[in-house]
Amino acid sequence: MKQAILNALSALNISDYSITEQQRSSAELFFIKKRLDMRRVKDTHEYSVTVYNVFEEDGKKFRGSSTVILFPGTEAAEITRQLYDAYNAAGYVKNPYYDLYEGPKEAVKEVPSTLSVHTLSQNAELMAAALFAADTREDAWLNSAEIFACRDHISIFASTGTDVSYVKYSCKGEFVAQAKEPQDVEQYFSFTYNDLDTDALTDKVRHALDAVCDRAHATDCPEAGTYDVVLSDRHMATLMELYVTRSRAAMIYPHYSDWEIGTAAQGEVTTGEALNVTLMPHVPYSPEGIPMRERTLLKDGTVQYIHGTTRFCRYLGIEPTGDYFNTKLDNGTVSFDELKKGCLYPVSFSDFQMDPMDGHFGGEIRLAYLYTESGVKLLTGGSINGSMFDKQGMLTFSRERYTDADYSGPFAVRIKGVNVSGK
Amino acid sequence: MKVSASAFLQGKKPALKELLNKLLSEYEYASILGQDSVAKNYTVSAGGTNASQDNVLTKRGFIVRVMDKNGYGEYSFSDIDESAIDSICISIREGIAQLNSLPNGVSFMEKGIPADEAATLAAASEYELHPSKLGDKEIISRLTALREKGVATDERMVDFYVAFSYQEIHKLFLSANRDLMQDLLWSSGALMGMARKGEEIKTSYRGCSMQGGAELIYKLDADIENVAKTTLELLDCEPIIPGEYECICDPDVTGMIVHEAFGHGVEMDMFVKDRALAQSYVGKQVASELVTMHDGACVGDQTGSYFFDDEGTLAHDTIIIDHGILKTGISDIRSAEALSTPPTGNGRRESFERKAYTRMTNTFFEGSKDKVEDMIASIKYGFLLEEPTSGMEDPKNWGIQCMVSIAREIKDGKLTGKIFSPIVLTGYVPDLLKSITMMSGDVKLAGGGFCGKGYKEWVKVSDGGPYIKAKIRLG
Repeated sequence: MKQAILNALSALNISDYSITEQQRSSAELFFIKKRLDMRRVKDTHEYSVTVYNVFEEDGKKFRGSSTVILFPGTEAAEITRQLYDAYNAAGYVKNPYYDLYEGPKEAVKEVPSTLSVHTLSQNAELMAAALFAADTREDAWLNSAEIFACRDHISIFASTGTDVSYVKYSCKGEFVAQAKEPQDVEQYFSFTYNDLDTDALTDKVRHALDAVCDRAHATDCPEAGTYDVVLSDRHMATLMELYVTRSRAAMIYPHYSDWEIGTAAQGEVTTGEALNVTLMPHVPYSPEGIPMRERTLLKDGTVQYIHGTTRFCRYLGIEPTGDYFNTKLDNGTVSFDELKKGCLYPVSFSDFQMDPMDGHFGGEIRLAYLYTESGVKLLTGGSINGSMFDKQGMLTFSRERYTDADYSGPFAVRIKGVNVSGK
Repeated sequence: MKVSASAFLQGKKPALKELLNKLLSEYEYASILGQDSVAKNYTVSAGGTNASQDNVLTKRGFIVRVMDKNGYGEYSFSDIDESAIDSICISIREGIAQLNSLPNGVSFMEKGIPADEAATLAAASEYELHPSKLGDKEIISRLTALREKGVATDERMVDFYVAFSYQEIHKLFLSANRDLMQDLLWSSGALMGMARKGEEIKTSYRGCSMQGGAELIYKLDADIENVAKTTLELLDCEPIIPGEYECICDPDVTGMIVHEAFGHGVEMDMFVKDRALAQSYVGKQVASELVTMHDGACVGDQTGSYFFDDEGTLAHDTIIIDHGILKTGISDIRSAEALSTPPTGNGRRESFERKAYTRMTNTFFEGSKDKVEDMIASIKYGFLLEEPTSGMEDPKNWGIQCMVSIAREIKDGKLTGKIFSPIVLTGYVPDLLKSITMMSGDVKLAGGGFCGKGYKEWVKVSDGGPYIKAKIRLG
């Protein structure tokens, strides 16, 4: 298939191109309570081909591009027609000219993983056993669960000489925990592991069952007002989307973000802790074949690095880096027990969101703990709504850490003066 | 014009039939879904121009579903020809068998064989102008002109993003008694103004969609002034004081409430899992008598319209709520079988690579007879809610989480011009639906975005309804 694509590109005299071959396999299990509802196996293959067209108009030089997706079994005539159409489309895409990335030629990289020593079906089986290992309580149980044991083999081959590929294993999924007394409630949880981390999954289920029991006892809505709010674990990763997105070349070039190296990302840090954030690779190579490695994003709250695709990095006159998504943060200064004193601590939302464009974060509360001098109160309902641009100078982080597939850093943060809707 | 059939699927059909016959000799039940979909996105913004196929929606491949002694198994693969049939049979047999080891205490779910009543169909949706006929040059040129017009409305406009996309979908379903083919064309467009307020980029958005083609592009121009005006209004917005208010929801916000707050809760795969409170409310009042709610792939010419679902069930029009009374939910074939109810044609997959779940199609409230100006005039202090941005279901507890960009203040029956943003809607679904006291006549559906099952399994749907007046908690 790849040779058929190369033959068509040659016949069409298309000199600038990039071909990404994706072979994806998975073994999937779907459970309803303690019954297996569905077994699924996936073995698919596709090619994403980007063609570039360099042209001039009114003395200006442009580089347009267009991408088509091709599949095994596609006949040679259709491959040629699709690439011809894409090249023509690229001729109307008037993006300013830039030089393409000239990447390395390297042997296949296998992302080190303990998942690679087993078959996908064995990985699914082992993670299923880990999932149900903690499902032993009488007052809370797994309502349903899905497990996806995956193997992705990605190859990137470009006309500029880039020729790289990698194999990555993962095991991801989701589960719903349920408790019926005194109220019938549920909570949703997701997981992604790049290793056969069975202990972590069992622990996650155990904590999820604890949390859903608490939610079953939560009946009161918070009083509307302003609270110091603590956010933790997955919500920390969501908050970091603000900094990862604002430092993206694709946001800076069109002036959606005015960050540059040296910008004080947190504004004037007044009473809080300064952020130290490292960008972490989520795959060995970006979709353009750029090798990805750890990069310092923020040091003491100041922008150290801009990241992005070749086009936007070239426009900004910086080295192409690929787009990053994962973050690692330094530890905070306060113990979690100290951090949460006097605070509202929502542990579960319907859908916690961070909007990197306007800086607002918020969501509807499904379970929160209110820590007061008289004790801890379980709450449900209402919502939080705040702006990180207003609050980011007053953040306090926990010493305890939390690690997930896309985040490693303080387990929790305290944000001062957040609006809470309620009764 | 009708959408043409897929030469790829037609060419593969003999091999697929041979594969099906082999599978039927081995399994109690077997079916095959073939997919050949092309989706293309066009965007123009300050970041540049894009004209590329969508790598999530452009898919070509097959999925086999079989039933053995342990229940259902599925196998997704990319290609087939006559010489590969035997090896595909082996992959199905061995691949599914390798997943038969269960954790301690876990058993296989008992299953019945799907009804599989005889049906033959070859149907295609209609369009006026195919995007490929209009051509890349013209589409990009028109979108570029729209963007320039948007940016020129005010010097404070940082950018004006314009998008058009289409999805041409071909599907083939084969089982022992069914031979179904459908060819569909859905299109959607979007405008988004962007203006700066300090570090914040304020955005206002309008989307439109239809079952049809590039004729949609000609509808985008009408909204440019409104989008630009609202974007600039947002520069003066304030955070709302949390509380419960009388609100008017525009059809887009109504659609999000219909979809997120109630629609997900009547997906009957949630009934099977004991995850939906709605199950215990069938036959009971859950909303104001003004409320009649539909879901159906055969109602409306929208991005949730099709002729049969991904499990070979023909499209329906399901009345979910009839004058406030919950009548039924919607189902895929397996949840219908588990609940002993008829399937409603709502078994949908993100693609041939994914599992089928119960999913919505075109979901909406019927209209009533009130005028919008009378609805606004009836409010002493409250808000007109516009521009929904996201929502999340809570079928178990009927909690609401919907985010909207705009709450326009109403005082003494008049809009004051003051805007509050962003807004989180929360509350208890039946409380909100029972509080509906007025509804406008016109019903509008839109399907510019995607619907997820939780945080994945994205499919196109549409939702909407009339303007509604209700009491809602805002924060």
